Amino acid sequence: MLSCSRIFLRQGLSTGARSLAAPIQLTSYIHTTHVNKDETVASGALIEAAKGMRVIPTRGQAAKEKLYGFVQDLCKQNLGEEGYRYFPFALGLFTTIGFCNVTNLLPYIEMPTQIIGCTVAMSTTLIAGLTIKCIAKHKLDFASFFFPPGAPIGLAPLLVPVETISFFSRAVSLGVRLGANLTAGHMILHIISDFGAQMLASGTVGGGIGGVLCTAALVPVCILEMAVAVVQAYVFCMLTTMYLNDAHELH
Amino acid sequence: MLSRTCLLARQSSKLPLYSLTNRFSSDVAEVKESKNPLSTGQTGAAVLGGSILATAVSKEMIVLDADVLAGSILFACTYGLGKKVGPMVIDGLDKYTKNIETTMSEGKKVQIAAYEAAIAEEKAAIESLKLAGDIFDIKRELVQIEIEAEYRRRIKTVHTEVKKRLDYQVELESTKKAFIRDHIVAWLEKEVIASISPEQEEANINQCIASLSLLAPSQ
Repeated sequence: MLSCSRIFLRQGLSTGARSLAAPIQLTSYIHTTHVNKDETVASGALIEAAKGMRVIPTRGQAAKEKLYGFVQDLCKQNLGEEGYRYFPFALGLFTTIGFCNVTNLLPYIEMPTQIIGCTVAMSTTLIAGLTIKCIAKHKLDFASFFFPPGAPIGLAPLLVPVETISFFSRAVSLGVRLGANLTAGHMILHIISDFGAQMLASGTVGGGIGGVLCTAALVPVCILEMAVAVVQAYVFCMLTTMYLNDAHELH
Repeated sequence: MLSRTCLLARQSSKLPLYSLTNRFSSDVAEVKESKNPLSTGQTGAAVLGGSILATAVSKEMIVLDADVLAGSILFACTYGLGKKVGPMVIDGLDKYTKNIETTMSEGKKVQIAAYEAAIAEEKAAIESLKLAGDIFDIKRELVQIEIEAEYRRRIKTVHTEVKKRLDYQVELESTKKAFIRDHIVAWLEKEVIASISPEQEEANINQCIASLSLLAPSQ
């Protein structure tokens, strides 16, 4: 049974696009995988992207460095010094999801991040891995997750179930947030474009006017979808780093 | 009808002044950059692309459905955003690169300045070492002069001391001789005086009186 990361890889790489940083094997940090040809190709893409780097960067290299610095700042902010070793994982996650989200906007292309099943599976695996890591590190102290510090002990029968549900619902919410946003945006785009195409194809004056209006309405939606694609990648990565920090520090 | 010379003069007045090296190439038709996109040689790529697109659409290789509309709008938005935002992004990236270059140049300049200062110090040290050689020679000469002076001072001292001792010996000898001479003279006087009898003394006195008497009337 293929892990979600391999489906991720196969679909992502089948479009023939090279991602900026595809240490995809690091996204399988949580999974038990072995190196296969997809991951080798993805690693090769990373190595290829890093070739020809100069001390004084070109514009392309400067853009890569800016992206690198952006994710680095995110990790420093959320993970601190001890958790900074997860930075390669975060960078790979951000660039891969960002690439998939942006590529998903193109017509006739469907990337894994639009498939809610895939994103939920990815987030569930992430949260499961974090939980295992947290238990392995903190042992029984892990249970303090389900009772916020400073809360009165009398509220425990109420707070513990709520916190437990909140903790485990992260697994679903993380993936659903990503998949649902992209799906919704894609759906809106499809509805408006379908409407506009049918109006234009109707051959009437009103249909023409309506088609033009729909085409005009597509413009802000497209721009919004481009923004959502990048923002959702950032949100996913940021939440992952925050959950990682929680797993390390226990609040 | 204007003469050929007048026509040539008119033409030459309108023509811009070309350098001698450029003369013949400028006589041939000038190729100016045309800003009109519909001019000759500009529309080839667009016509080819448009024809291929039209063929594909007519043959239903590209079906004009909702996705094509969405894709074209997306392409247009990307192009527009690229035109609007692209220069700002490029400026930002160029500024970033410039900052790195400036920082590295600053570091490089500081290091170069430090190395130049060190080189100047080394050169000054080498120059001072050259002067030090002259100073050593001067000092060596001074020392030699002092040694010579000391030597001469000592020679003089020795000379003075030896002369003192020799003078003492001379004085001693002369004093001895003076004593001996005085003693002998005194002994001789005494002996002579002791050897003079009263008769001789009287005879001598009478002789002296006689001589004086002879001398006295002549004056």
